[in-house]
Amino acid sequence: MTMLSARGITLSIGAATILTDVSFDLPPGGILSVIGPNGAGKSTLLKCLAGLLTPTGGAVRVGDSPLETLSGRDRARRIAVVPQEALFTVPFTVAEFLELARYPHRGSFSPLTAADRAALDRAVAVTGIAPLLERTVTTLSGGEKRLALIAAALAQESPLLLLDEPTAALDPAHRAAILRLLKKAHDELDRTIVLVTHEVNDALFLGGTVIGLKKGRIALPATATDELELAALGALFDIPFTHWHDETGRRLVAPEVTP
Amino acid sequence: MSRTVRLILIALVALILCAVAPFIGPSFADDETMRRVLYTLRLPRAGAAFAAGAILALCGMVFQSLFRNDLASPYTLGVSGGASFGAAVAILLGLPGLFGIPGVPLAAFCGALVSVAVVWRLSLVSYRFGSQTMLLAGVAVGFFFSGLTVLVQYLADYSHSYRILHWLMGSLDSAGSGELLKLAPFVPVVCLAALFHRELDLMSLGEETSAARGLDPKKMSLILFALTSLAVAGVVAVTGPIGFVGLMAPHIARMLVGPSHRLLGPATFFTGGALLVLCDTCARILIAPAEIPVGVITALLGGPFFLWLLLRRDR
Amino acid sequence: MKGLFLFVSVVLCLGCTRTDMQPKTATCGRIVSLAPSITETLFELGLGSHLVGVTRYCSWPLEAAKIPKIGGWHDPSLEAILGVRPDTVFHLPEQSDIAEKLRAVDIATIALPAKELGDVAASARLIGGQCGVEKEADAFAISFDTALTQVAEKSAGKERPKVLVAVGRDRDATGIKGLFVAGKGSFHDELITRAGGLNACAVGIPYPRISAEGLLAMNPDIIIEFVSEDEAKNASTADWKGFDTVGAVKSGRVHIVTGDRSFIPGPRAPLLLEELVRLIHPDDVEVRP
Repeated sequence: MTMLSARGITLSIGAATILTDVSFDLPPGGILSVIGPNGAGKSTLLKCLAGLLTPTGGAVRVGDSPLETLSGRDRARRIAVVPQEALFTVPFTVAEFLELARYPHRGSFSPLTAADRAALDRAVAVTGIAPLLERTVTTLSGGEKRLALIAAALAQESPLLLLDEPTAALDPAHRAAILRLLKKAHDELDRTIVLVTHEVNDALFLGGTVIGLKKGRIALPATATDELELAALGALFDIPFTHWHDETGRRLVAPEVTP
Repeated sequence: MSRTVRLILIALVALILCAVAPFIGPSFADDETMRRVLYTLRLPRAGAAFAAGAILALCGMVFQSLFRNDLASPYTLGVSGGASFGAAVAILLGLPGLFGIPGVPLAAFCGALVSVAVVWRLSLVSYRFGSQTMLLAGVAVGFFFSGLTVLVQYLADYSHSYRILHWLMGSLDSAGSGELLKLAPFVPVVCLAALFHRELDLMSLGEETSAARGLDPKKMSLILFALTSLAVAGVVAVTGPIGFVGLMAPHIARMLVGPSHRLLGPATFFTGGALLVLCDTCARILIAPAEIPVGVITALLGGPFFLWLLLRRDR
Repeated sequence: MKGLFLFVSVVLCLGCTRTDMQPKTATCGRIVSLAPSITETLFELGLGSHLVGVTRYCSWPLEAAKIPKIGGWHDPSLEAILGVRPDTVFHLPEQSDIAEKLRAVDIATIALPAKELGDVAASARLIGGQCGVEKEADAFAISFDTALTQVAEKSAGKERPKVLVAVGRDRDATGIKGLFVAGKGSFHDELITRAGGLNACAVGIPYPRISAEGLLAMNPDIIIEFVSEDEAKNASTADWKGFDTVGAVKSGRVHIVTGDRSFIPGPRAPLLLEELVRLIHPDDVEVRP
């Protein structure tokens, strides 16, 4: 049984081919990190998986259903997406913004149900966003915005959580907070997680499986994070990697920067 | 003060304004004439002003949310350009009416719908549907039709251009309840668009976010554009392009009740209606018995407001 | 609505200054006229045969229609004017733009004001001086002024009813909408006063747009609607029926006067004035055939 499967995903826009024959399977409760250099097609792949872009070839299945057969609301009930950036131009309060995440579960005109409120409360509790609820989204800092986006995706209560570069452009403290939150979402809230990142250490911290994408193709087939080899990383990013272990025994990697 | 209370206050003020407006202006010694002026002229006129203002304001709100652009107005998609061209041609050629609708508003209505259709078609040429593409297409189509209107004016003799010019200034002057009756069908149309308040909230977060929440942004845009364009086309055809109400009213309402469309929709409806009733009353009484074109009043109010809005945003 | 154009020309004259009244040459030779009122005056003075160019609005006298057109009142074509090789161009004061360009190529230009009825005789005298027809000009001026005085005498001392002169409205609307009337300071305001009426519209704008209730408020005793030849077929006194509380409508004193001359402050003004007197004081004026 797979939660999410991609079969031969190909996407061409005009003459340009962004993705070529990308396939993988993700079991329920799994974590998949898609890593690769800038411009490899990682974010595009995530949009195809989320149903925000339709691949020109291949198919995405969510559980038993082909993605394209699902209605918008159906899809959103199964997949929640955390984009890298959101258009926070309208001064909604964080509370209003979170409430909109319940859209796939509500009729067009029905008020919030008890289930909706419970989902919102859980998301607020797990993200610790309560102090920000009355703030307007336009006044949030970068880290707070990211937190609000993740809280909304959690409030959507979809089993599958897709994240695009969730730790990009964050300071170390915020980065750590987001990573802990994702771990919690996986361990305590049973979310199956797909994230796109070029921070290999994020993938190592979360565990699960890694695939490497380069020029729109799978350059590094699915590998458990424990078994990720430095040579494979070096080939993927075109730069030699080194690694070490911190005092807790966790493995960390870094490119060898030669002067 | 809670936002709901503010909405109720806006509605009350708007209704009071509507009720009071007919009593403002020169009074008539003769009771019979006074009654006639009140019931057959000023009351329908205030009603028409309210309906036109409310429709324009709601359409402005929808456009501002869909385009995520504070400066969007009901005319952003070139609706007034198309309508003006239609009206100009009808005035120049003296086109006859159909089904009891006079030629000029009929042609203006058709012109408006043509311009919207062209904009919609143009925006589909782009690979991915984008409201920004549509915005630019709208501006381009608007300029194109403005050019055609100027050409018609240039080809027309002076008297026809004079009439076209006056049509372009917009007016709510009515000889009875005709204007109100022509506008009335478009009120439910635009209210229908405002009922999609949750979708509008989502759309204002961007197309990707709305899609991620399970909304089909393309389909929703099509529905909303169809409803609002129809309503704007109706208003422009009847009153001529009255500017600034559709731009100002949503912003005023947003300041009072916030950006969430559940309250913003009704607040915009009442604010827009009240604003145009106010402007039209000024147009009617300032130099009575003569009129100032109502478009001039809204522009004189709207210009400074617009600047204030820009400066406030950049601060 | 064609009439409305001519009003506008009259209106725009109001603020103009007489800047270039001095002729530069002594002969007039081939003449171009840039306004219908000027064309008519030239014919009155027997200079019609000298005319080599007129505006497309110059349709009276009938011979004028056969003269080459050099554009409209507001958009005369410099090229077309130069093409008919005029020696002298008579124009309205507000056409000084094109006059300047003509003077630059040594064409004599003379501005003839058309603000009020008194200007007609004055214009004739200016033309007379320019073209060496002083005698004819004098004779015309005297007879014109006499005609004005005679017409005015017919209503002298009589009670002045409130008269509203309508000069344009939305033809496609049901009922009366988008109504333009003669206000204070307009050519038609002077006509009303000279014809023994009181302008019902006291607004200080030459041709303001009037609201429906404004019409009721003014409550004129007589309504005179001027329409051009083109629009005569669309105008009917029945259109005014909805305003039956207005004195003029109640008493059936709504009149439609057809003809482009209603809009031209030229030599035919006494005839127009006489018609107005007949409509305003019907019992006291003998009806002409």
